[in-house]
Amino acid sequence: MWGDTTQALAMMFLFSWIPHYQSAPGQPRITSCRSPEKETFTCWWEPGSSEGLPTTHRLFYNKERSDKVLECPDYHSAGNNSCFFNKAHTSIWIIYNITIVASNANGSTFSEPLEVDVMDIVQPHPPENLTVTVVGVEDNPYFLVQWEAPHDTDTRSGWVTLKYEVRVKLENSRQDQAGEWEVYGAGKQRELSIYSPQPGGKYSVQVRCRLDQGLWSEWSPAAFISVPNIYLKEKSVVIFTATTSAFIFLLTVGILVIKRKHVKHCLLPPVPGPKIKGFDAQLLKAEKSEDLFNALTSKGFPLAPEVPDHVDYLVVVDNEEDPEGTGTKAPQEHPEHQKTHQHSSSDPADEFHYSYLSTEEQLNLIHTDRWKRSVFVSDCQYCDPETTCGTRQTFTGGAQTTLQRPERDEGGSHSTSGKTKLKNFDKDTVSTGPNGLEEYVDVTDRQDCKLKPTTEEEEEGGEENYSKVSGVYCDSVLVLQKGSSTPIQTLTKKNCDDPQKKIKGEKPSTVKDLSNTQDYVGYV
Amino acid sequence: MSRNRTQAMLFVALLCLDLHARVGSAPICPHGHTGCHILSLADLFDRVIQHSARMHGLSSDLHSEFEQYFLPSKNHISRVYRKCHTSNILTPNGKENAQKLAREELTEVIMKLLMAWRDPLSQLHQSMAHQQDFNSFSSNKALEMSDMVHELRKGVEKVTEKMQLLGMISNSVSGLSSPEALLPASESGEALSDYELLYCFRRDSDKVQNYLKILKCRIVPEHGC
Repeated sequence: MWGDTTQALAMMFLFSWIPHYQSAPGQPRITSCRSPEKETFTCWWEPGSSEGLPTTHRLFYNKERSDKVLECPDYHSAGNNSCFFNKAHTSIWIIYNITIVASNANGSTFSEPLEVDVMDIVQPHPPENLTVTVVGVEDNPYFLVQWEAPHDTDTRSGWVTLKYEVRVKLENSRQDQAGEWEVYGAGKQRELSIYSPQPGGKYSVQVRCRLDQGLWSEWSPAAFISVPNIYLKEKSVVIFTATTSAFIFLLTVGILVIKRKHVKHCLLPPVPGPKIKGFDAQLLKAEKSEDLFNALTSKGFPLAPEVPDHVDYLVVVDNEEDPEGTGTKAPQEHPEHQKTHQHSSSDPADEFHYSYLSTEEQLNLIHTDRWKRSVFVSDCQYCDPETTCGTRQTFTGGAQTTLQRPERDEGGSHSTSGKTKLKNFDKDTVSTGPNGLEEYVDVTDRQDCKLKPTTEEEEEGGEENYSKVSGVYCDSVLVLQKGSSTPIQTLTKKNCDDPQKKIKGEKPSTVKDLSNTQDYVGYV
Repeated sequence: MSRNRTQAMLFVALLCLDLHARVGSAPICPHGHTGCHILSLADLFDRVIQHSARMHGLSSDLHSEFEQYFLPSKNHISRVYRKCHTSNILTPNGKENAQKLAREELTEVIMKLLMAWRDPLSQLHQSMAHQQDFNSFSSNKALEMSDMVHELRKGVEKVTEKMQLLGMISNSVSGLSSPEALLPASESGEALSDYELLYCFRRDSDKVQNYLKILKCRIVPEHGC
């Protein structure tokens, strides 16, 4: 057991313990051991601090299950601070225990021992003679990468099996950064085809190898290759075509946008609106009802001569049940008028009966131009007998004409209302000036809502037509028209849903030009 | 009656198919056609070599896992004095030594190695399966390794038979049928630990792989050597 090895080691330990003023060299360290072909191997070490003195390094080893301490057979073949074990000194599948001893004049220092089995430290040299060529037809090129095994490996005897790996990188990538390496396994073959390289690209190729399950070698020196750019010509054609089509497209879109109305008209023809013969919308806008209605009723209705300054208004009150009252009142107030009224009614109809006023002439007779009156325009929202509206109204002229229709049987209320109306009228000071035109009397309108009823009759029958009535709203509203050129219209019952609305619709015209107002709404 | 006959015929047909399958995918050549047989021998060798490479890879993985998790210190002093149970088997420790060895001897060494590991590997798998430290993945690897040794041994047996049939080696290869029941024990008589077993097997599987390659390139050199 205690052979030469141990003695030598003991001696060395003793030597290291001898005190010395100048220190022994620093401890060396084994950096690595490598076998490139599984037949030889080399170990390298780095020395410790030399302390300024010449230091020698020696390598000692012993093999597994053997106590013999052997020294490195070759210190020079692999360079400085190395030990090369040739084939004769290399045994695979055996553990080597290696130690470096650094010694100078003052002493020796041992390194840490390293146990190594050659099987574990196999790392070949990189492959050699790497060549890359671009092969293939113009439109489908590919790389052909070829290399050779490192010269010192013995593959012919089957002792080792080399496996290879190739990596490729695009040098001039567009992202202004180095491209990524693409790694391809090549197995045992010594060539590789890489397909679909980027035209116009510059590539660098490297290859490495390993023995069986050993360590990978270093990457071989890079080989560079440039791929011809065959797409330039095709690209220009494509670009030209794309540009032209884009231009045409934009042009078309622009034209469509500019002429969108025309296109819209063409594609989606507008639905024609209803047309009334002779109706001119422009006239309506111009607020000239005379022309408007002229246009409308040019055929059937005689046009009345224009009486520009005359505003004929008609207050229709139903006095049938109390003809006396009316009779009394009327003559009280305006007896002469009534007389005239009566007088004028020379037609076969009864005195108090005006069944049909077909001509404006008659109306004119009735409503003389002396009178100028305005019909009450009530702002009453609610025809509530209790409330007073308090609306001021101008009442020019004090004349009041009543048309009596004894035929109709009005409801008592109506006549009453009519009477009431009259009464109202009575209350108010009504006076007519000499010409009957200039005087203005304020008439506080109270319950004008009670004015009325004759409208109903007209609605029912058509026997009595008030030419000036342009419309009837519900039961309490009577719209009268300006006299002059207004044609006689049959009254129609209008929708009573929203009288206010309609009134309002007509109101603007009323408000604007009182003297020229066409429609007046009489509340009954 | 006809039913029995059809059944019998089917049975015979199945047997024939089975026999064909056993013969293998090698082209059926009349006996004596050397070209036909050599090709199949090369294929057999390739398969066996692949098998041994895979086995060695597995053993390396297991060993490194073991080393990583259970033995953090690299400088294990007892490593130097470790002795595998197969150390008694004389194996060439280098390429020249292996090339100097005769084909028969080389074949014999391979067979001895494979046979020596049949039992220890199953023991290893069992001990690994029982221990809580190993995950199921490692345990499965050990089992796979154990099966592989078994398969590889059979494969090498077939190759040997083929070689003997072809007259490439003499019939003096012995020790194939009688396994040496070597219990894995060190010199001092203690049983080797799991780690030591793994280390030893890793080494031996590498030996087997290398020896097979050498053998192949010596016997059928024209195919991939």
